Amino acid sequence: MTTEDRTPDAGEKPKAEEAKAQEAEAEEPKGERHQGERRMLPYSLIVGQEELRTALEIAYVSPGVGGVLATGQRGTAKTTTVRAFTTMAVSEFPVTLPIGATDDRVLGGWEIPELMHGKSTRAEGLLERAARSASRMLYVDEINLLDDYLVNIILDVASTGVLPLERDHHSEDLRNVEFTLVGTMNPDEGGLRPQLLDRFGLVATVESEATDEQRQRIVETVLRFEAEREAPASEFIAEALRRDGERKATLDTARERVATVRYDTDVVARCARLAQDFALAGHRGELVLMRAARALAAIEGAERVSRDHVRRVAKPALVHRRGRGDTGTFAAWTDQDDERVRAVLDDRTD
Amino acid sequence: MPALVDPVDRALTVLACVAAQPRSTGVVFLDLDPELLPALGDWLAAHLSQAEPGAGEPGVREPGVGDERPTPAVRALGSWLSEDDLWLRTLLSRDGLRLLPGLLVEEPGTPPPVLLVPDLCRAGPAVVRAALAVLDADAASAERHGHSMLWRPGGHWLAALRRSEASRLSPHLLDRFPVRMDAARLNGELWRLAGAGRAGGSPARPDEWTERAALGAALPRLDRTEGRNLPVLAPEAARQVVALTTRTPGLRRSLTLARLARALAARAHDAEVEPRHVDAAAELLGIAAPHRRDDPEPSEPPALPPPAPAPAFSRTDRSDSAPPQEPVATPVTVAGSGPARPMDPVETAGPAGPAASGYPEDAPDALPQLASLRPPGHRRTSSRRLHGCPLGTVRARDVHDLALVASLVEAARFQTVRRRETDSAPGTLIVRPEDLRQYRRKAEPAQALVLVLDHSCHDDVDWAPALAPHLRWAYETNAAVSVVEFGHAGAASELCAERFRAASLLDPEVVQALQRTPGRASPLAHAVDLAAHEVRRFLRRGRGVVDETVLVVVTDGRGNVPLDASLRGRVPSRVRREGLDDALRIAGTIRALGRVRTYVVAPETDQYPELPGELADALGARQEVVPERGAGTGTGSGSGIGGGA
Repeated sequence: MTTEDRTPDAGEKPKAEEAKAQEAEAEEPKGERHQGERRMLPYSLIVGQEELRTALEIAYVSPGVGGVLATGQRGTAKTTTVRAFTTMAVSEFPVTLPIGATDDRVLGGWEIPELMHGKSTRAEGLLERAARSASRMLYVDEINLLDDYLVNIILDVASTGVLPLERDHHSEDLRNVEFTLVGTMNPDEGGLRPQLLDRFGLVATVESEATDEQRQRIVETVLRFEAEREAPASEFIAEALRRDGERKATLDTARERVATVRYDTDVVARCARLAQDFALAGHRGELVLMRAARALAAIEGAERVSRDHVRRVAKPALVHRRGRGDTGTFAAWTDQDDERVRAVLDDRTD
Repeated sequence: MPALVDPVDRALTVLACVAAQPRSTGVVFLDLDPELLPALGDWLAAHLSQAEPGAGEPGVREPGVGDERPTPAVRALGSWLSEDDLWLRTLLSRDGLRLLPGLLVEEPGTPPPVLLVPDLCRAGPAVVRAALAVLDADAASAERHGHSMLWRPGGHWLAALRRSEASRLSPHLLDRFPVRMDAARLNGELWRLAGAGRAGGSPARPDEWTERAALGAALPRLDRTEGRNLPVLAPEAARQVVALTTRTPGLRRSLTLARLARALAARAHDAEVEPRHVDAAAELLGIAAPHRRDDPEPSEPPALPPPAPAPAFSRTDRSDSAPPQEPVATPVTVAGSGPARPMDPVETAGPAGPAASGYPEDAPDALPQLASLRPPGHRRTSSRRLHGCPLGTVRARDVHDLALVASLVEAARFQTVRRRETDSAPGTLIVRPEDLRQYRRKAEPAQALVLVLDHSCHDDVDWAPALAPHLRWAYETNAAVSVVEFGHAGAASELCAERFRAASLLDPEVVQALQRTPGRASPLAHAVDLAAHEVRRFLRRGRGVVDETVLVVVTDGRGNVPLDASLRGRVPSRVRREGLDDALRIAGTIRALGRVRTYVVAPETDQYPELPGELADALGARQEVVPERGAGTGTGSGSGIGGGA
């Protein structure tokens, strides 16, 4: 058993990726090998996943909301949804922190092949690249399986936006290294450290599609996409891409006008009361709640944030902030939680 | 659609369907002899290299050039592999340091590899974590040591796995291997083929390499189907897919079933995927229809009806077997409107349900090891040394456990620059403290529990309260567990004790061992001998791998089988105290070992009540007496030791 003896050259450097991306068709995400057909399921063909899709869209429109964590059982298309979203929104895959990444790639280091020849050229790390990317997103698949020492690095930079580099004979103080952290995880493999969980503004619970009708739609859609992406001119895929374009336009418009959206009377006060009612520590919870509700209003074209917008984002904004939170495990959101939210918003609290 | 009976036909058909899949697919062969996995991997690689019959690729192949494509590499992923092996490898040669893509990285222009995992249950942590990242993924990336790689995974993974161990694995990992094949009958058939493939094939097992080559030659070739002009999935077929997989978590199994059904339809040159294709795919995968008993692989082939026309994907070049025939039981569609059929008798249908299907992790009593995919913590024993297998390297914080090659590689990067800075002569190697790397190692358990269970003496007592503290300790410390048991009705030999090792207390085998039916013989001496061996293994005298070993011996002390009888396997003519004396003698050797806490848990009895005390004295153990049911606080209702543990 032998492997070809060659230096890796498959998209190793950002430069190489950009060059390859220019060769690709418009709908091909950057970094994909161009093989004449589309590989990524268009965002508009994703069936269900409403909670995750809404959370991703809110985080895109209002990055101040913070990151998005998708937690759910195996095989529920969490990763597919995230990748489809960024492909739709910014025509590229998110900058991804994979399992097994080394710290020099996370923080940055040197271009190794050049260094071997005595030329020192700095290579940006994933955190820096994520902050520079169009989506400003750092995606971590299976984030609860991430090595602790990498988690610490992410936490330090995500909380301060500062990346002080003192390594490999290089000293630099990078500022404004800001990115939206997006993670997916299967809770069967254990929870997240509380400090990392706290970095996520929204948590989307992804459940296996319950109805047979939805399951059938998913099976039919995926198989049809796999069959038609080989075709040179598929109406099915063209229509899906057109809908993707429409959604992107909607989100970009919302992103531009989100700052102009105002709050209805006493909505801010009710957000504070919700935080109090759910015994949230600090003020991050209510800030996320307000920003997420405003982003949702902007996406829907509303001029003002209503109680209904707050109600609809309450679950992803609050589900992981209730309780003690000292283990990184959080209780499932229940109908009683929904009722509590409604009671506070409708002024029916005792 | 006629079902395939021949196990080789079934396996190769599934592999041929996998070869047509548009993404990286994981296949698990349940109970396959791992020695046979390379032959199947070679077959799949050869199958993938076949050109589509009659379908050229304009502009790719020149006229006159052969139709064969490059054959994919077949790579075994051993348990020793680290992340550096999988993602980015370094090669030191005369030309200096070179970097190579890891075993899992797929380069442009090279066919995706076929990857073999000889035993999925014992695959290394780097391998199983990589499987999560690569299998059935739209994209995979590696970010290591200054290199960034992004590719579309297309390599197929073939893994062997013992069915009895499958429920120990993480369902999250198993979900990445949605294609399952029951290989219990496949083993014998493949070995037979290997023998038949040799010139003058003799019945004796020859040299394995000859056998593998012979087997590779003996396996028939199937027509390769390409992913072009794929059959359309009919709505009824989609409904059938959902009906067959509606209770399964996630959608991966549903999609796999649909894709396999589509591949079967394509192989039969059907324009549409129909429910019968879905049924055929479900039958191959061992997915049971919710309304009928599944017919698991019987020990004998089922009765066959008169020969039917060969299906489009059947083998036609096998000279050593009967032509493919249709079994009596044909798949029944869930949504079909066929006539009502009386239910089959239940008595000999064999085990049903998830444990007997291709998906043992669905069984309600499946006990997967918790957090088995998480990166191992840097748990250290009191000796401050790590002994687990290396997973990778990290920057050194002290000079213990240095990874010399990785340190040299780190230093090599900077040599040109450093020599220029320091005016050093060419060839000088300048190593600085920041170059030093240490191994990141898999954490070994710092505690161990050795449990000796004498099943011949627990009929009238409830052991749960006495055992609970020890089991709780083992659970809380995630201790490694060795179980030595004897004196139960299902023992392979009543003269011998049996031993097995488990990674943790949650191993289903441990649970089963706590619930045996009592037997008669009591080879206590052999059990203590095995326990002594296990304790010594954990202590590894002089190397200090575990901080603490706890030995719990559950017995009434009445050993009625001498050690010699156990070792020889012969029933002794006279026993007297010989069995007990052997046990006490061996127990004395355990007492001499350090870092062992020993307990003897004995029933309260008026027959030879002094025996457990003698054993406890010999072991240097603390004795715990368990009252008879109803006599004390014990009120357990379980028939076994672990009734309430």
